[in-house]
Amino acid sequence: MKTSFRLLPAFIVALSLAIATGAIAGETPSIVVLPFENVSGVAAAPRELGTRVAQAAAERGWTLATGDVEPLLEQERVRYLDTLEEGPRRRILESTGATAMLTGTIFTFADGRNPVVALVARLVDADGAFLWSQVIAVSADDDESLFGLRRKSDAVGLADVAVRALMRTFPRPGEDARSTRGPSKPLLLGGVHAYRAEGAATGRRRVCVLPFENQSQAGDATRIVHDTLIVRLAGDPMFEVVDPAELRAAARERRVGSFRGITTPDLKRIAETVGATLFVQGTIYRFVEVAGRAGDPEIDLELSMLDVDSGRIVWAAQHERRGSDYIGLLLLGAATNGVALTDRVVSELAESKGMTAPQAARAFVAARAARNATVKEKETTSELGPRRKPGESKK
Amino acid sequence: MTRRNFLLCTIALLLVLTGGACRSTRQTQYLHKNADLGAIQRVAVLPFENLTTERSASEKVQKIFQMELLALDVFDVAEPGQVTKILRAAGMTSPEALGEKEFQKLGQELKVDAVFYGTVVDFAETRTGSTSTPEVTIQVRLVETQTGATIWSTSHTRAGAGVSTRLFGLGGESLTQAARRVVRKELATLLE
Repeated sequence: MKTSFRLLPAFIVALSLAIATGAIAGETPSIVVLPFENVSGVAAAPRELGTRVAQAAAERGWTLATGDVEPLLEQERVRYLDTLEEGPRRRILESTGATAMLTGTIFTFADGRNPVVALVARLVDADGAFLWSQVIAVSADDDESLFGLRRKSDAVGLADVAVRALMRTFPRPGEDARSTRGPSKPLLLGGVHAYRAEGAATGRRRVCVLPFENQSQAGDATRIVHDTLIVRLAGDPMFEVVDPAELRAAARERRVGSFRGITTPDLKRIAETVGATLFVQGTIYRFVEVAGRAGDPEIDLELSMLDVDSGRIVWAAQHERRGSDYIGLLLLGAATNGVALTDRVVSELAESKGMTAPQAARAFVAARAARNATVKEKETTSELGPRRKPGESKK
Repeated sequence: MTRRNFLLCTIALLLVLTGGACRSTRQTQYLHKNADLGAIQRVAVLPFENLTTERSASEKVQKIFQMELLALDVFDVAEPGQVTKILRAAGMTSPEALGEKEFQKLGQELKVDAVFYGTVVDFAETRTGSTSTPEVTIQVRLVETQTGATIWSTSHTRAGAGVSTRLFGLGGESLTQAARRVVRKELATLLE
């Protein structure tokens, strides 16, 4: 008995050391950084940005999983690097000993008169839940200081600035991510034209974001809008966004070949698999990207959110903007590239309130209710007899 | 010139300028003499026809119409995906080609009392000097599915620039904004 008590302090010290060094399996806050998906077309972009993002994560207290992850991705036959399906994700996390996975998509890495770097990054846990996500688009015009000093001359020079801005809200281990609320609408311009069903928002709900139909000339527009919308909806406490990889897997499982022109019965079948009844879909009518050159980016899009359970549209919105719409004091603040403009427009959409029905509509509804009450009353007192269908003669 | 005359001349000149600068709107409307809009609870919005060169015009206007209709909160609106599915399954390509039987079938399958559909006649920007102004004409009709009868129809045109745009080049509206205003005016006539 005396011997056991003498060993107790040593045991306590050893246990504390084990916790401090993260030697207890499964509790080490480490992340695995996947190679960034590259939509920009610039081969050097993933290396320039991926390295900086990993370093920034390490500076915030995360341990980076060691070892090359490429062989694991090949072994799992991973096609899309934005997010991974559950099986490959869990296996890669287990192989690397990591607790979370950091992925990214580079939209723009352009040199030119006004270099631009734009990317989105996400941190997901083993269950596929978004722990953090952020989208950023930085141009040399945005970053230069007074009199054009410290202006970056190319995209590589902007990479540090972009990553610093991106990782500003990145959580430390054990910390909840700060809200990634987007920019707000221009001061003097009207807001979004939107409809929201009354009573639609009741508690946090899972939502799937489908790829948008693209009627613009810009091939990348769908990815940019889709990924940006996911980031802004994920930042809304009312929504839990379904991982795109999970959605793709569900579509495959339910033998849905394409999201293009998808019908409601197909959405219902997917809904059963992913456990979400809300689906966001939309159309991009115009998307003008001017990254690296002079010009005004433009975007024009519409979206709607369908509740497949009730068969009702619970949210619909349409919005269009140019980059110069956001010019404020001293002619500053314009969105200078397509991704920055998309982020602003999507943020405005995500925060839009619905339109209020005009007085005439409320009066119409009231008059109809009164009319239907009168007809029902007359029918029950047999003044009119049973209601006839149009064209049906009196018996 | 006396002060009073100067003032009168200035007012007259402003009136001439603003009179010549006004936006033009034209509207026609029809309501069936036996129409009982109060009996309509649930409706569907069919695809709009496109008579313009702008490829996305009809889809865009249809979506604007749908959103404005939802915002009125007057009718229960059938889900668009369901409408598309049923039209596709029935091989219905154009609402103009639908007869009484097709409308009845549509009404039964979608469980709607009436359907809206329309035509986008104009959807373009015209240039007047340095000013670009939208010209939008939309025709819409409401058809009772039981009988295939048109119980309401309207056509509205919005063209030209407003006073501030003509005089100062300020506050011009886009094609989408013009289309939205046209749709709102048309739906307002339905509620009268």
